[in-house]
Parts: sequence; C-alpha cells; structure tokens
Amino acid sequence: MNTRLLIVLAIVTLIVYLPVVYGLKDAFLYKNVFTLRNIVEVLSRKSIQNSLRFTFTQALISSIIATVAGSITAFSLLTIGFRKAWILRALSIIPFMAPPMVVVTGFTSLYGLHGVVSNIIPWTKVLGYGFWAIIAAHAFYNIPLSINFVYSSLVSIPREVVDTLHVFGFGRFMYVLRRVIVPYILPAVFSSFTLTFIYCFTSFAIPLTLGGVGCSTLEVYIYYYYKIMYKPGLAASIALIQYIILLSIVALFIYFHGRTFTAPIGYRHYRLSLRKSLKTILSIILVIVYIYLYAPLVAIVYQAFYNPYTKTYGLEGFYRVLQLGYDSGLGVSTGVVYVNTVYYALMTGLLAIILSTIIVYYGGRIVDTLYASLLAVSPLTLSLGLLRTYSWYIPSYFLIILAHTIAALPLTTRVLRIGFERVGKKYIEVAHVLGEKGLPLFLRVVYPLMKPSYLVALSLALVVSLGEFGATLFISTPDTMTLGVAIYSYRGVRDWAAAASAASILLLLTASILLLLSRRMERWL
Amino acid sequence: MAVDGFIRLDGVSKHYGLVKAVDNVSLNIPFREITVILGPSGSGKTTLLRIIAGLEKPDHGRIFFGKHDVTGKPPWERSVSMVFQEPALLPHLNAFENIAFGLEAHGLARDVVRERVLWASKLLHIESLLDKYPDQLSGGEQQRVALARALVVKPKILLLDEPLSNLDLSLREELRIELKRIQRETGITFIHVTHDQDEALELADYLVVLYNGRVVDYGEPLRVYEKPRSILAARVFGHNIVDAIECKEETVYPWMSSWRSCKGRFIKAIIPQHRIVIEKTSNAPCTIRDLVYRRNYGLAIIDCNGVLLKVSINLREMTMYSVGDKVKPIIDSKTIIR
Repeated sequence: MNTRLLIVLAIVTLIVYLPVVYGLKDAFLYKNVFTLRNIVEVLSRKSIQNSLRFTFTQALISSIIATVAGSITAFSLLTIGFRKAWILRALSIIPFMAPPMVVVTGFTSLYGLHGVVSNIIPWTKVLGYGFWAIIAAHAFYNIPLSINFVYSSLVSIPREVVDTLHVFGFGRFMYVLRRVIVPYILPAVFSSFTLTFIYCFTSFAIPLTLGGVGCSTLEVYIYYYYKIMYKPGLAASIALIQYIILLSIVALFIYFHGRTFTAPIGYRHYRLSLRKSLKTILSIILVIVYIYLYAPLVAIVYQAFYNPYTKTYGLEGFYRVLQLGYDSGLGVSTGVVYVNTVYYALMTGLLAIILSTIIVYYGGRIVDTLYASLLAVSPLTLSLGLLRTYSWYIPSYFLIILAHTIAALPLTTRVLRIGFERVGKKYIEVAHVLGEKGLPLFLRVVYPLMKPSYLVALSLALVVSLGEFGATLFISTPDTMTLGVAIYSYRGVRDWAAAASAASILLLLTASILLLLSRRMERWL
Repeated sequence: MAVDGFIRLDGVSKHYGLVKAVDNVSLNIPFREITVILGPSGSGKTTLLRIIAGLEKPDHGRIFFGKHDVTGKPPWERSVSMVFQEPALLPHLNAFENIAFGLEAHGLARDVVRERVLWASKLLHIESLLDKYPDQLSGGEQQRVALARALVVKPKILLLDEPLSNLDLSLREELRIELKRIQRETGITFIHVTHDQDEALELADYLVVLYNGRVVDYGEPLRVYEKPRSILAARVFGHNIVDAIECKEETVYPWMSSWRSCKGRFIKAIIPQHRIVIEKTSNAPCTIRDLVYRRNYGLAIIDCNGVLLKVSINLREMTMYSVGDKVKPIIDSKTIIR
C-alpha cells in the first residue's frame, strides 16, 4: 500500500473509525468486564423495541412519501417545459440544507398550537406535533433530495433513444414511460429512497422536538441514555444496533447509486410532448410541492414578528435574540452564541476542505468506501465516540468542530471528487511529462481548475456547520452553544417569537450562502 | 541525460486484467529520427507510448534510453515531453503561460522562460497567439500551442499520441509537414503514434507496425509497406492476402485454370493493391464488383472465383471500367511476398 493511501486511512481512522470503535466498545463492557449484558438488556427493553419499530416505520413511510413526491416533481420540472426550471431546482436546495431547528420552528409556526394554518384549519395540528409531524418534516427535508436524484437521471436519458421509438411508431407516452423512462430512472429512485431512509432512520432533532410519547427514534434514546441517564453502556448498545442496521442500508444505497445513469456535460436529453391536460396536472403538483416546501420557511419569518400569547405583532423576538448580553434562558450571552456559530462554521469549512482534498487527491479508489462508511455513522454515534475518546484531550468546542467537519465530509468529498474527475487525468499527465509534481502540481493545475468545486464545497460545509444540531447538543456546554441549540432552548421556555427570530437569522445566513451559489451548485446535485 | 544509441524496449508487457495491451515487445528505436508506431485501434500503441513516457509501468520488461535504464523512473526524470490527441491546454492560462508551464516547473529564470517561449512560438508560427486563451483558439492553433509547450522544454524525446487525429484533413496535412520540418530543425527524437497509414508513411524515418500488442514488422517505411514481413503487418496496410501455389517457375492462384492440376508448395501471397494490373477481356476469370473513388487514386474490388482482390487504378482510367466488367488480373510474380 502506498504512503499517500496510508495518510488518508490514518486521518479517517483518527477522526472517524477510532472514535466510533472506542465509543461502541462500551456496549460490550459492564463494570469493566467484557459481556453482552448491555446489548441483551437494550434488546429486551420494551421501550427500545418500540423505538426500533417506530424508527423503522417512520423512516419507511417518510421515504416512500418523499420519493414519490420528489420523483413526480422532478418529472414535472422536466416535462412542463418551464424555461427557468433550473431556478426551481436550485430553490429546492434551500429546504434540503435548511438547519433542522429552522425546519422544526417552521412546522410549529405553521401547524403548531398557535400555527398560522392550524388556527384556520384545526385538523392540520397533526402536522405540528406527533407521528405525522415527524413524517411531514422528514418528507419536507427529503423531497428535494429525491427531486435532484431523479431529475439528474431523467436528463441522462439520451434523446436518440426516445426519437428511435417515435420513428418506429412506439412514441405513445405510456409506452415511452414504461419502456424507457422508468427503467432509466429506477436506480435513481431507489438510491434516493435508500438515502432518505438513512437520513430518516438517524433523524434526531425532528423526533426530539416534534415527537411526542412513543415517537422517539434510536438517536433520541442514545441521547437520553448518555446525556440524561448517563449510561454509556446502554447508549453504546443502541448505537451499535443502529450502526449494524445502517451498514446494510448503506450497502443497498451504494448498490443502487452505482447503477444510476449520469450524463456527461452537454448531453442532449429527451423532450416529451405531453397533452395539455397532463401538463396542467403536473404544473399543479409542482406548485403544491413548492408551496409545501416554502410555506414553513415563510411562516418562520411571520412567527418572528408575532407574539401568540398577546396576539400582537412586534420585534420582541428579535430584541431578545439580537441583544448581545447575557441571556438567562440560554445561560450564556447571545454574543457568544453568534461568535461560536460563525467560528465553528469557518473552522469546519477550513477543516472539511483540507481533509476532503487529501481524501480525494490521495484516496484514489477507496474514496467510495470512505464515503459509504461516513454515511453509516449517525451524528450521535459519532458524538458519543468523540466524547468517549477525546474529551480528556480535546476541548469541547473543538470536538464540536470535528463533529461538524465529519458531518460535512460526505458532501464536500463528493463535490470535490466530481470536480477532480472533471479536471480529468489529461491535465495532470501533461503536467507530469512537463516536469511538474506534488504540491506545485496541485497549486498550478488542479486547484485553479477546481476553484468552482472548492467554492461549492466550502459553502456546503459552512451551511452544514451552521445548521448542525444533534452532535452540537450532545457535546456542547452553555459556553459552546450555537444558534441551533439556542433555538432549541428558546422553544424549551416556549418563547416562540425568539425561537422564530433566531431561526429567521439562521435561515437568512444559510439561504444567502446557498442562493449565491445556486447556479454553480446545480451541477453537483 | 546522455541519450546516445537507441531507445531500447526489452520484453515489455502490459496487461489490463485479462487483456494484453502490450505483449512482450522488444524494439530498438533510433535517436534523432522520427519513429512512427502504426497500428489499428486497440493494438496497444498508445499504451506503449505511455510506457515510454513513464505514465504507465510495464508489468514485465525494461526500457533503456541509451545506456540508462529508465524503467522505474517517473515521467519528469526521463527528459521526455508528450503531445496528446487532445491539446489539453490549461484553460486558466493563456498561450504564453501554457507554453511556459514546463519551463516554470523546472524553475528557470523569467527572461530565459520568455526567450524560450518566443523561440518555440516562432518555430510553430504562433507568435500572434501568445496572449490568447485556449477557448479563443481554433483546434489547429491549440494543437500548435500544445506542440510548442512540449518542445520548449527541449526534451530529448518527444512523444506524439495521435496529435493530428482530431484535426480536419487539410490542417492535418499542413501539420505533418510542419512536424517533419521541426524535427529536422531541432534534431529531437520523435516517437509518433497513429492509425493513419498515409500519416505514418509520410512522417516516418523508421516505422514500427503493432498488432494486438505485438510488433509485427519494423524498419525503413517503404520496405515495411512494400514488403511486409508478416501477414499481420500486411493486414494493417490493407494488402491483398491470397492463397497461392508455387508451381515450377509460376505462381498459381485459385482463379487460374491450372489451380487444380498444379502440384507445388502451398503459400499465402501478400500482394499490395498497386502491384496488380487489370486487363479488360471478355473471357477473363474475374468480375468488377465495385469501383471506389479515393482522393488520389481509384480502387476496384474484383471477384475472382470467390476471391476478392483490391486493385489500385489511376484516376484517369476509372472511366474505362464499369461494375460487371470481366477483367484479368496481372500480378508481377517478383512483387509477391511469400
């Protein structure tokens, strides 16, 4: 094995594998004796059995809804012939990347106790709290994922294939759909389904805040057993069970993703001419989906100015959030919260870029395996591992940065890898025969050609860090609090206006970054 | 690195899985000449070139530049330069910066870089293009810049991997002449890879024919073309390969009346297209199946009792023939390669 590959493996082992293994080892220890007692105890507990059943059920239902809705939306985007479809596609990135506490606040603002919609249509309160609220929030998050997966696959269908069918007289829509479109997009549909399942299975912020009794995922139980009950053995056992289940689902995702068709740049994709009535139906679906995706985000801003207790409009929420002094509700000054949030994001951006560069540049063929293994590690399993392994040597603020970096790595690595592949071997070979190598080669050839990828990777890392909640809540103390955790605290004391104001600020930050890069980012999604 | 003598490939092999891209190639390539490696697609010629460049490691065998064993050396330690099928100019650098790229990699002083870039651009007649970016250049101009970039570092060996194949015909012909001129002026060893026979014959001082990863012939181009030493090399040139019997003083072919009665040594005869002459007679054994116009000559496909022969005809004579005509092929037995 060459030295470069060893460097990559050493880095990933230090920041991911070692903490995960070290954290999970507690599952096999009871009073310092090696035993399976913890695992047996966890598996025999009714609450965990129910949680396992609930985690699986909600993930399955959420994934089905998100995949079906996303696939239809992607098909609508392509076929209704809307010229600026890329804008709608780019806009779908914001809900997907929105911080979980922003989404939660959005759903509460719309369908919660004092929600904008639930006040008018009372039955919609089911979307504000409990099982269906979790499903709705998960669908909100993952519809954009499905849109992008399926859309990319749809535009990979060569125009000539559909043209050939037309020439032979088999151009009827249903025939083309059955014989061409469905077989082409099926791997993308399944890979978006499995990835959505993984995200929903490891969901933490949404079930923690929107879930009621009996609506706790395994992640919530890891948090509960470690942070509240302080039983590392039981927490590690749940994490271990979850990790094993996730590995098998990740294997499925890799299988389907490997079979997904992707078109090279400049490829001419097919165009279907649909009947006007069908186009109208698809347009209506498109409008409904986008309203569904953007209504919670708009509602946050509304809720930020509205006090549901006094039923008045005002700026109290923003006053509380923007005064930079000590906030007794948070146990720390809000100024520190902002500094932490921005500092962690910048450090995450820097670290994620450096690590992804090393992984992509030196990792070669193992990049896919690394990507898969990162996906199988849930935020709380990782946080548990980081705390158990490094809390004696590394301050908690840096553990948070490390957790954010690892959360961002699958995205940044993917973006840089695609960018690296697009640079192509040819430029590197030219440089080699002209005498250039090592770091100068990277700085003179690879980096300039990959600048757009770096910009996208950096912004994604910033957004991930700004919005990260699970690992931050798990590791943070009051002095290392971020804006996401602050929103959770405001919700804890039922200060809806402050929560919505903080969520608005966080949304503004993330949306600005994403919108600035939306056109560039379209290529990577 | 002193490079007297030959570039010597000694039992070089390269496999990709079960596919043998290069199969036990041993070869001496002369310095300061243009060597052309000719072969059909998939014959392993690009792999062989990449092995010489150091971009691929051979599974077996050794490579010597003169007396130096360079087998394990990376490209930047071989004193080679390479031009690829695609110009692969760095899009963020203008033509000047692209040409200067290799010089800067070697850490040369700025004025030396400038002087050398101007020398190379003059050699390639691209002085007016130096401040343009790749997307402002035509395909031919881009390839000239790529050539200048490769030449400016004054390599001992310049490797050319089908650099003309993406250009249109007239530009290709123009650049072939340029390449020959530049080689003569600089004295650099050129190793050029192509699947185009015309290009190979026009450029080569020394010709190597590759087929299925093996060297099937090599030597002086005219000899290799006129009298290939193997059936496989003849196949690369599209020569006629027919069964024949050597009967006393005469060579007998299947369409001749004496074919059955003749007792002699059975051979495979290689007959280049231009070594057959056809004569129109009413009781001839062959029929013209097709007449094809090429740029500088015509081609008649004739059917002689089931044996198809390709015959070159002077363009002016093309009108004398039509499909279905009975013709007699006349083959000078001295030109037959056995």
